Amino acid sequence: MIAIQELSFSYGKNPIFEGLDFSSATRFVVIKGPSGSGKTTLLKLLTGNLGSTSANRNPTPGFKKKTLILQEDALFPWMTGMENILQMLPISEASVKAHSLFAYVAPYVDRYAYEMSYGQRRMVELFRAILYAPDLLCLDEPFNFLDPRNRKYFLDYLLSEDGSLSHATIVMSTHYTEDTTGLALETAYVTGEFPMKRLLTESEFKAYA
Amino acid sequence: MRNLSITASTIIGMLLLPAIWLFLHYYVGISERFLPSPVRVFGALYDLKPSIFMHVLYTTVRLVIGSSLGVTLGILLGLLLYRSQTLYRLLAPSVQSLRATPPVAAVPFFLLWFGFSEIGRYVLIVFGIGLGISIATYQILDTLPEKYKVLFKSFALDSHKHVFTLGLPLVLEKILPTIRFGLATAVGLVIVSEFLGSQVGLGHLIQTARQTFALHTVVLATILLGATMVLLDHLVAYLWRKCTYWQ
Repeated sequence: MIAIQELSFSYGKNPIFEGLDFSSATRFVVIKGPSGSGKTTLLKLLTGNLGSTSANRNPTPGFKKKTLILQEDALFPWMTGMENILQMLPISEASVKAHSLFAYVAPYVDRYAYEMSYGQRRMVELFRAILYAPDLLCLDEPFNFLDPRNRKYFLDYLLSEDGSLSHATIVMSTHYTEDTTGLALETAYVTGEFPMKRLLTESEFKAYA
Repeated sequence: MRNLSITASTIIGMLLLPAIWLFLHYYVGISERFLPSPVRVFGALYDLKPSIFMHVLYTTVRLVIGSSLGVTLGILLGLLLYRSQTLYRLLAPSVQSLRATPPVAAVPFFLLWFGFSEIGRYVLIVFGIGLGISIATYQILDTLPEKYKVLFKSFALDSHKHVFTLGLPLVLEKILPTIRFGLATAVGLVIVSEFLGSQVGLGHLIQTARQTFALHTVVLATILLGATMVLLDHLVAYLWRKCTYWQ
């Protein structure tokens, strides 16, 4: 469901990725690794927010709508949650309220973003991304500030074959190992040893560590 | 205890300059020719015709109207420059070069074009502060925080097309220092324009007092100008806090 081809990138003179290839047949890939190992950089490259320096400028061809949710929330604080959703999406308020996940954000979606807690803002952002239904959804530590119950609701929806993201490929970085254990997804590891030419499997990462 | 300490140090700060003034005049004995006494300076409050308050009022009104126009039009121009890349390419070189012109040097031109009218004074202030504010506005939008750049890209939207709904609040968040600096520039422009073509105002008062060597009146006008500036600065900061209610 995802094939990364010849991904190369450097920060100035420091190479991070060099000709990295990765492919997965699953629609849900989890990226793990220590802090500073390049997980966020990888997600930015996959969604075109950073440019690959290899001859292949688009490491993820075949995905038209690519969405990235960063660790820091990008809601506009002067708008309510609902206004933040409607400002970015060409849909009606009725359509938003008709979605099955609306119930989880309904208690606070009409508050200004600056009045919400970090967890509530994260919920609205995730909900907005789900409404957009991209082909490739990259999530950078999406479950920070979420309690276990809300993490489970969203993870179940992301994995669901029935929801609006059933067609999408999802690449997610997370530190919440317990949430992804035993689920039908693929886990790949970044080591932080630069430049990286491939992502490691779990057994390879354990042997490396 | 901490509040008391803050209040005490604030009061001491406000009294510092007057205390130095009193010390220099009465203790060190500096001559009235070089440093008028506080009694003489504040005595001028009652001697002037029209009254000093009329001069303060005219200068303040000119400052408020001119600065408001300058800030509003400056931000609007900056938003439009960001909205249209074509407009930016057409106008930016002219805006940058005009901005480099010292506004005070342009005063004679404004007098020639507008005479001694109030309109001319307002246009002078708009020119003096508006161009700088427009460039600052454009710069704030052109250096969007990364999270918002990612946001616009993620939803296939162009940030240039959302300047009024999304860009304006972002500009308001960061424009306060530029507005405060612009206000200081506006004070200088109002005073210079009153030097050259006005029958009332603190600038006119300083000019006539200078010509008659009435130093005590010059000092009084300067003190009142400083006080007016402080009050206007506080007003700007207050209005900014109201506009950026989310901060």
